[in-house]
Amino acid sequence: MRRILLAVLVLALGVMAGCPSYYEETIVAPPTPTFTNGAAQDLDNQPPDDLNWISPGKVNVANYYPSARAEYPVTIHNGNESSCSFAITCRPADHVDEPYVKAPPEIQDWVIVADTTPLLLPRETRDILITLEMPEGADIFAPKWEFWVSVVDTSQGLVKTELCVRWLVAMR
Amino acid sequence: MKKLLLSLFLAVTLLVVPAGTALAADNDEVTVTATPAFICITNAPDAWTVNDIVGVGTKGVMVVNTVYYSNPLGDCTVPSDPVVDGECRFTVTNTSSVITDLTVNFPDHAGGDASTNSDAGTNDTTKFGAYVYCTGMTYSTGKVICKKAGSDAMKEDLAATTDIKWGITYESQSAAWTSGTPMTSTVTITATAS
Repeated sequence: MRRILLAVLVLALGVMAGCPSYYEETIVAPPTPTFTNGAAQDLDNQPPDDLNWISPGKVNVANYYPSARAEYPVTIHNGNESSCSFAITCRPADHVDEPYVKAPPEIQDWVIVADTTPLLLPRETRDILITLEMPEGADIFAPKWEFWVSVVDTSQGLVKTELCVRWLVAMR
Repeated sequence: MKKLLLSLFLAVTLLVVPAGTALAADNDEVTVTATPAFICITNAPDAWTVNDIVGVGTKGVMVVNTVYYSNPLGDCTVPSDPVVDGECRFTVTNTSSVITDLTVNFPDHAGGDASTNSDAGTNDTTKFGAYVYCTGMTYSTGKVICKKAGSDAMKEDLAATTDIKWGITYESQSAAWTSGTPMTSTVTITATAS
């Protein structure tokens, strides 16, 4: 009987040890956008193969809080006929619409770009994971804020184009 | 002994189950969503030498305290109200699948006198001023200050797959040049979903 009691105690302790002492957020990872997914709703407007493009245009993060992680890939297509290096950075938005405010410069420390200088083969399409992780204890400066993920073809001249994904974050 | 076992089991169950339920009640998920869309623009040409389209005075050389335009009709010719295509050096070819905003930033110069952007549209002794304009805009009242970073949108709500022409206004610094060597900057036109 003592053995049974001991076994029950060990089992109970094991179960309790497996319980989370704090809750963990569940990140809902949407399907990765693909070449055709970018225009799935408009078959007459497919992404061009011979031009650079990115997808999506906007990422909406809801119920966010410091220490939480939010992830979504940016899909980049190299429309050049040669291999091309891209620069991917995170930066404050140039302008925002109310009620959103610009994220502070610290945003660059809160966002992890899986590959900041990917080299894409001609006509290659690639996903680069973007992860937002605001440090625990960070000041919640606004209930809604925005930052941009910038993608630049580094082979351009002195008047260059930049394609940006808008990340719209709503705190819980 | 069976009672003891049963009590123990119930106690453990009460310890574990309510705790999980309580935690779940506070477990609001972080959600991440995105709408399928792609952003795609190109810009041409990819360079502009101030006072080098037609040339006022010495072509390709700018003098201080002067306003220049990337206007094919004349480097010192003010665009009309409204701006027409022929007054714009640059063309954005837009293949995006969604409505977009276009924003232009003009960082400080490097090299030469290294003029800095006043971020106010007007010049100063060592600062240049810059505006951007586009087709259809009322130039006199609608031109947008082109800052080194964080400019307002030059064009909002540009329809999908719609091209647009645009240009830059540049007012050189007011103090005399000291270096006599060229200076450069990289102007960036940014496309974002509206």
